[in-house]
Amino acid sequence: MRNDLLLGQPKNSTLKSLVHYVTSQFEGPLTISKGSELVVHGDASTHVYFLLDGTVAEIGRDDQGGLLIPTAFQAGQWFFNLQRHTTGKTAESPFVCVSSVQLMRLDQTIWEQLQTEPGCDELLFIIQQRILDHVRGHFRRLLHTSPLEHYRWITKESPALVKGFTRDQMAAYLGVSRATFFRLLQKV
Amino acid sequence: MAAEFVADGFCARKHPIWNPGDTRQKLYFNAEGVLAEYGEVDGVKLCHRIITPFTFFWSEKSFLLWQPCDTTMTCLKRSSIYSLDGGKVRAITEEFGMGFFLANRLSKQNIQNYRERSRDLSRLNPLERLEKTILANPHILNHLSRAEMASYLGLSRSSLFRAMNTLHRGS
Repeated sequence: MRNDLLLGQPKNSTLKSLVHYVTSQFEGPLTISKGSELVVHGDASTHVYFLLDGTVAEIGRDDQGGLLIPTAFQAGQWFFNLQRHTTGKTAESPFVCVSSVQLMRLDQTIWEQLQTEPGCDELLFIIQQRILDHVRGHFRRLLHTSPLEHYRWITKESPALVKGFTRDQMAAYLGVSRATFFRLLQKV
Repeated sequence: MAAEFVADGFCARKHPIWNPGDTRQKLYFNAEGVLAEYGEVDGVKLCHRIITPFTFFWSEKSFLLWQPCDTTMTCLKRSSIYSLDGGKVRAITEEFGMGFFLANRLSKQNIQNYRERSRDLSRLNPLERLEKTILANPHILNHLSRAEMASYLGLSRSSLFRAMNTLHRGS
């Protein structure tokens, strides 16, 4: 977690002591069982999470009741209630542990207090950089690659997703119907 | 900050503002024209986003992620472009005690855009994607070719044409 925040920073970075202080405020490692919801529907929480192991996905439903999975996070990634963070509105979809997960959690009250500390806005920016890189990568793969190529990429680069997701969830993550995903599996 | 923007001059149609590999740590302002950002994977160029008149834009890869650009930003309709160097943005925000406020706001906006676009690609059918896009930008079809429009919506050309016919019949 510390290394990730200090990645690319100069050795004598002034952020170093702040990073040590902020990361020491995280509780964990916490073990959360499969199926638990870290962010529930209508949630306004702003806790910060760092995943050590396992997979967490934002699992919602569209207007017709179909599964919708816009983001999934794996070990080594940061996340928080993205709907609340980006729009100020409460969460539309829960963040569900699709496998048993281990994570570090920074309580929203502490995080709120920390944000008044000088330099903490830079830490928030670094966390946002990681999240932006991640959601941007997923968007590009959705747009640029066929579902089959995308699935192959996931099996190679993110095997934990294949393990954690049900087939319906994987279809939703790839943005295809269940039937299309089953046809696609026959080609793999 | 507005006073510090420098006129980069007129950008002619098809003229690129940045290309893959460039470093563009700049905040841009697009005046009257229309721009489009393209990404290329395996030789296939797809349109990622459209920059409408009188809006700010930036290369998130370069300006926010501090890596070389991996897209091309091209002018679709002649425009006056203004820019502000990243170093100056930093100096101004520091001077006014804003810290990383602006960088955080822009990152937040980008995260929201990508989440929205990913959600649209997953949940909307071709007709809904077309309707939503036209509603947000009624003149988009004047600026993009049908092939570019199809790539922007994540559709094949034939799916786009079917959606356009349905929309036309419906209206």
